[in-house]
Amino acid sequence: MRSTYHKVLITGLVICGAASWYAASAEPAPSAPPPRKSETEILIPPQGGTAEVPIHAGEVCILSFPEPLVGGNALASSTQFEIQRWRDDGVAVRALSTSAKTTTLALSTSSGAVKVNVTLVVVGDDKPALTLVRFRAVSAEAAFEARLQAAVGKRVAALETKIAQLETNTEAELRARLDGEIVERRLKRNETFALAAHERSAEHVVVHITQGAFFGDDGLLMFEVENRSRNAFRLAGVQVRAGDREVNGPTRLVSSSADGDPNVVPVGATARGAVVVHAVDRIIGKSLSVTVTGPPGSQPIQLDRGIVFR
Amino acid sequence: MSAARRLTYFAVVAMSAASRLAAADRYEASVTLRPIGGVSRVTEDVGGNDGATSTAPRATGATTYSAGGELELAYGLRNWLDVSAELVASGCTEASYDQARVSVMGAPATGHLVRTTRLAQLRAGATLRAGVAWVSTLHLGLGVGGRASSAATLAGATQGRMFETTPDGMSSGVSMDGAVVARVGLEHRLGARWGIGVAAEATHTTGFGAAPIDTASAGISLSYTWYPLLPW
Repeated sequence: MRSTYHKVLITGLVICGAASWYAASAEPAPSAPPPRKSETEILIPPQGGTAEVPIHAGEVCILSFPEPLVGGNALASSTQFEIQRWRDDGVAVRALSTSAKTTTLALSTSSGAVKVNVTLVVVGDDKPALTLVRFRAVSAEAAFEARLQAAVGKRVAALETKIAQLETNTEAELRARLDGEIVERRLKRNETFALAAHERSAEHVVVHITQGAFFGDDGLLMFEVENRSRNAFRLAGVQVRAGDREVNGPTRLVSSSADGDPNVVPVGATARGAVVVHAVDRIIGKSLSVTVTGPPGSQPIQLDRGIVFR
Repeated sequence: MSAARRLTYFAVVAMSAASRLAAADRYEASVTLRPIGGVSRVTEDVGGNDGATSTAPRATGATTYSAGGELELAYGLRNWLDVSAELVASGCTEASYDQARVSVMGAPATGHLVRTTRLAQLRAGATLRAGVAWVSTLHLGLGVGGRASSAATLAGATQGRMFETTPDGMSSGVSMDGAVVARVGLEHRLGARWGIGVAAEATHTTGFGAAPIDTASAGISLSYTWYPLLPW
């Protein structure tokens, strides 16, 4: 259920993210968060675009274009960067210091297919930066799709991080609550008494109810499933009834099954289990009926004598 | 024990592909009804005495057919072991002794002697079990019981005249017995409650003041099994 909730949440946030992106200006289109000192490709629509390029101070970053650039030098807004042509179709940039302020660089190719205003941002060594950026002219639709995917990917990654953190916090909180509940119940009431109810199926699966326990407001019935049949027995469920009323909670079985399924009792083995009985004070002195259900098609095992909380 | 008797016992054990039924798994109780039939070797002190070393008559055996039934109540201590008590009633056809040498009114007499015997016993024992749906069993038990013997009839001829009489000390009566039984068998659980089986058993009954009876018998059985409510 939590997984489904997360999927719905992610889908909704992705839609919102895509809508908000649509209203925003063009962004670089990396398919994933840029790794440290890596490269990327930015798609530029026919009408031109913008790109933000993070760089580390002192490191050279190459801006590569599919065709020769116009003019001898790029037009830069800051002198704190060293900017030089790199052959005919590229520009090499380098920040001279870590204090270099953000600057922009206007570039255009000879055919005008790529027109871009590049924002150079100096980032610290602890943040990812680029050393090679390839600009590619694409149709407006392709650029839109790429930016959409980038935006969605970015949103999803952020949400997944948040969800993972939320799950971690939830599990820790649940564990703390569970521990607290156990302690409270233990302090309130913890009494056990012997039971000796037994029954078997025609397939020679024998159920022994050996002990009852008062545990806080609830109770427990401890049982064993002795599988003397020729097939593995998979416990489907345990139902406890007081008259017509179902009073059982969850059931747990501890088995030595080779496939790791704790609900499977191998041939010739005996597994121990327990079923929770809710609001046990209401059924004190009443005879309980326990039905142990196995695999589909097998005969349920019903124990209806000698099971009483006293 | 004579060689013939040992052979009989061996044969009973070796031939027992059958078993008694209705033994119980752990925590189970079962009640079993088992009709049986077989042969018995009924011994009577009708062999006379050698007159030199002993005045007691020697025991002589006669083979008869026997039939009866057993009602057994068993409880499983383990899946492989249960304990049981059983009530047994059986009867033997008329045992016949040729050239019986007995006393009639204190005088030696010889003739053809016949007598019938009925047995009732209460036994307790333990059964080793192996299997789940098909269970082979080995049961050993001890018991006590009563033997009801009819008045013996001695038929003979003296001085050209036929006579029939009851010898001294062989009138009808009841005596106490002790019994030892060994049984092997095979049972089949038909489901959670019912079972059937076959069994063969050998019983040695020793009379307290009477001669022994050895019986080899076989039977089929029907049992009903349930979990009794017990405080343990």
